[in-house]
Amino acid sequence: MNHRLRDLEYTLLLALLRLGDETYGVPIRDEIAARTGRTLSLGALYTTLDRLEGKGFITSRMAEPTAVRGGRRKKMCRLTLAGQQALSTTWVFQQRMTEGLEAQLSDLRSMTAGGDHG
Amino acid sequence: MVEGRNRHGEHSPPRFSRWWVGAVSRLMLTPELREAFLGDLDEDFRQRVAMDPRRARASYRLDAWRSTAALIRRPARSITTASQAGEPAMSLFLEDLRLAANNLMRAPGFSLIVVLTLALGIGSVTAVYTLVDGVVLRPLPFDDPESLVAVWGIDAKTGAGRFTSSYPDFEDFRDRSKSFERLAAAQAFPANVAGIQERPSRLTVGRISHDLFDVLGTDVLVGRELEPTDDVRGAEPVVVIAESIWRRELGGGEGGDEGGGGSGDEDDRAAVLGRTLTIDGIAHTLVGVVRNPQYPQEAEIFTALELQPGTEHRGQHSFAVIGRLAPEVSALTATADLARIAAQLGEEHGGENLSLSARVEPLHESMVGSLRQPLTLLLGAAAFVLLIACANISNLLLHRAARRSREVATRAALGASTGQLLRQFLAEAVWLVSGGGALGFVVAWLGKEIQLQRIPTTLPRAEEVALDGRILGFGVALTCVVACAFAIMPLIEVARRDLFAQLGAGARTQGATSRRQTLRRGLVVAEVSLAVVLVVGAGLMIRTMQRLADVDPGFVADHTVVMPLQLQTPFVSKEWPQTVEFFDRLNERIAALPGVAGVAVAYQDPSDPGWESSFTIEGEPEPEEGQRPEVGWRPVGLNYFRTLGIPLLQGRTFEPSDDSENAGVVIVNQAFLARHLPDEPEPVGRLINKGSWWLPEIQQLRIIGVVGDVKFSGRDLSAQPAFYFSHRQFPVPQMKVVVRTAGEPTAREPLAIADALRQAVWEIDPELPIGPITTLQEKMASTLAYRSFLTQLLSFFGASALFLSALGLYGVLAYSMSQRTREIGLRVALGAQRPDVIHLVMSQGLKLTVVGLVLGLGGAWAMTRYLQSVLFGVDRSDPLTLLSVVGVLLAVSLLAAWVPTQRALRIEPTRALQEE
Repeated sequence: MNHRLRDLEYTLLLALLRLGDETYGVPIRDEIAARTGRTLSLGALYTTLDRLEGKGFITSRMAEPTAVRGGRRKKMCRLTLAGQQALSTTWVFQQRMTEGLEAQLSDLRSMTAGGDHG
Repeated sequence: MVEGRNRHGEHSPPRFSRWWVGAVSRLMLTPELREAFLGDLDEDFRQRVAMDPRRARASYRLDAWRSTAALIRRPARSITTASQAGEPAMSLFLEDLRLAANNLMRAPGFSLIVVLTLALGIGSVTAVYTLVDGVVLRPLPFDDPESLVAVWGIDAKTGAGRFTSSYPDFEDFRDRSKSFERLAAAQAFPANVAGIQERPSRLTVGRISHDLFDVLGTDVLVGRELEPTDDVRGAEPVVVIAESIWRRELGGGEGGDEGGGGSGDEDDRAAVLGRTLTIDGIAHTLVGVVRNPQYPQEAEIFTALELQPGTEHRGQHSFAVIGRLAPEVSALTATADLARIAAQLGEEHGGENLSLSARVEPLHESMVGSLRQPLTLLLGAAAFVLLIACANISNLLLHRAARRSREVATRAALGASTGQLLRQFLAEAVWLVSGGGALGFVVAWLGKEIQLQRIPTTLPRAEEVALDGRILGFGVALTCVVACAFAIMPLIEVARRDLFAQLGAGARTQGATSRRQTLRRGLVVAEVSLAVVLVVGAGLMIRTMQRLADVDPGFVADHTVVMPLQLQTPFVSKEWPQTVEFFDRLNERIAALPGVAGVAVAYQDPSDPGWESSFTIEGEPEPEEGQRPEVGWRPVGLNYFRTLGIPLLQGRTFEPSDDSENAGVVIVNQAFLARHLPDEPEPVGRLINKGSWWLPEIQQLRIIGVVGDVKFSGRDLSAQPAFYFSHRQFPVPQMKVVVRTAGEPTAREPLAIADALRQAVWEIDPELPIGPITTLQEKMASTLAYRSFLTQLLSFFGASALFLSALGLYGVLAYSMSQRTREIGLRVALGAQRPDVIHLVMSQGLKLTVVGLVLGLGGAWAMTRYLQSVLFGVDRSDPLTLLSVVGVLLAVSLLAAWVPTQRALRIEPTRALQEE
């Protein structure tokens, strides 16, 4: 599937890839926050997960309820093959666009130090 | 329970945010997603609590609100694909709202026009409703206002009139009637008050019977209210003041909220007691402060009534009587009761009591009853504007629906159900109406401010007009009604499925189009006819104002200022010669001022109807007991008639020798002769016997002159008979100085002399309080204030209506032309000339206008009935007004047709025929 991802979708899929296997909302958010310093709202995270599932990039199942979650179940997500393809498509696209610009982009980064991601 | 912990002592998320995010997610997420989402929120919170409970709560809140934004901006996909079974309808509608917002953003012109039109309509109605609510609907600001009544004197024979009572009559009513829990009398009058402000000042003082505050249910804040022992003759003079003046002038109530005061505050509050207020030269001891009674009139200082001179006469009808009905007694029963007592009083005392009876009416009715009709009228006018606005918007929506018919048809073909399409229209209506409603409140608020500036000062309860929760509720309800009204139009369209019928190239179903056109034309005709009703109303009012301006009031009001004075200070005692001397000196000084063309003193200025009293004419048959005629009495000084330009028709005017040393003299007006001496060829020299009144030494007055009539009660009323007395024979210390200036007629010019006038007074007596100096023009304008207010508002509504209906007409014509491009192109190709095309478009517009005009004129005939009471010198079928309205409407409709006509003229046949 030749599909490029939106920024937030790309970020989420990358987080899923990093966390490997099955994971759910809180760790995904923590992972993104730990790497980028940007904390997503859980609302934004879930609507994006929902969209990704709609596009077939992830699958999910409801896990057993736990006490710490007020007796609620987790929604465990896993990257699908289509998701992996989409990730690579987007990554390649970005790579091609940034090819040879590494030095300049690095300069830009130091100029706008602290500039937010996304 | 410690804040932020549950009953097991554990930390729990912020309660409101949790509830809120739960509610939002129920709408915007599928059940599974929601469960996971809320679970994550909790889990995250618990992790954070372990580190820092406070920040955990803050972070929960932040997450909740950011999530809300994210969920609303982009709901879960299963919510947006609508037709999934078991989805809550609300979340579907939220998605519709989102889509509708996008659609409207893409048509900013349309959206803006709709929102502004609506704002005008909703704003107008709400602004007028604010006024109606404050003045008429809201209960009076008294305890249990339902059982408060006013007692009016009426003519025993005809039942007409609304007279105030005499004090003895009031006492008899109070003592003999069983219909009232309490009955009180009150009178408001301007007095010189020292001890409140730095200089003695002229303030409104309420003379009241001791139980007035009990009747009204007024709370006592400090000290005491008036007691029965205060209003007996010979009692120590005491005074009670209102909270408002206590706080404003005496620094009362500072340094502590009411009710929260400790004993220290009590002492501060009590400091005001015992203060001496000198009212018209008599020292009164302040004994109490009461919560603002707001009765009688705007009085803030209250003294006991029995102490005042003049209270013992049954002939002096100057007290308002109000009471609280006894339980289970109606105003009607009370009226019958008082009528019985009035009849007894007639038998016992004869005289004027023979012709008097009484009527009891609810106080609310008595204060604002006469306003109900004009205010309802205004509300109706504003409602018309709203209706026109709605019709206009329905038209715009129809227009839009037609334009989007392809898009809608495509969506329908792709599987959108009728229900979904309906929801879409409804969602757009919701946005438009809430936008219009919100802006409407801004308009209403502005309108209220403008109204309050222009409101006649005589309007009772104007100070109670406010935009509050009730009004807001009214506005919201109104907005909802409008939203439903609107959605109906496109709904009809969709329900007919005309829109779907249009799928397919050029498959314009003729029937659907013409049906829609009929609907749109019907709306425009309705708009035009409503506008006609409003414009006729406004036109009649404008004509009334013109007619009133043309009426000769009988005196020259330009360049004239009025300065009220009351001599009661130590410098000028009540001794008569000093008073005369004072006014002579003052006249001299003022006459010598630069720019003064004339000066005179008078008890009333010519715009004041004043008081009436009885008399007989020597040599005429004696009238029956109780049937003595009454006439207005007007003490005036030298040069009065010349200063005011009132013509002397026979005899002479007053001279300095017409004083207490010499025989009594009187000057009458034409109206007096016409009514009381119609056949007398030589009225000068006839003798008048005074009635049961005042003039201490003089029993008879000789007519020495006849002057022109003056319309004392306003230009709209006929001139009343009047006696003019020589001030030198008529000892009243309370006079107005009337000064005519010689200058160019500019609006403020007469008042430029005000400072010099005050100075002239204070050079003779530096302590003398001076009432507000006004121009005679202003005073006369205030008698027309009501009509002028009505005229302004009706004109505004009329203009809005005209504008909106022109807009509607333009819309229909423009749309119709866009539909007929092909036809017109064909006609031009076949040889039609410019005039033919112009005729084609214009005639369509004119047809609609004429139908609207005919219906509107009919409607106006029915509606202006309610305007009858305020019209003057113009009939409601006034041909000039009606013709003007017809002319204006035709002109406006031609103007509205102008642009579409121009567009039609530019149609090139070759291009037009290629289209579609």
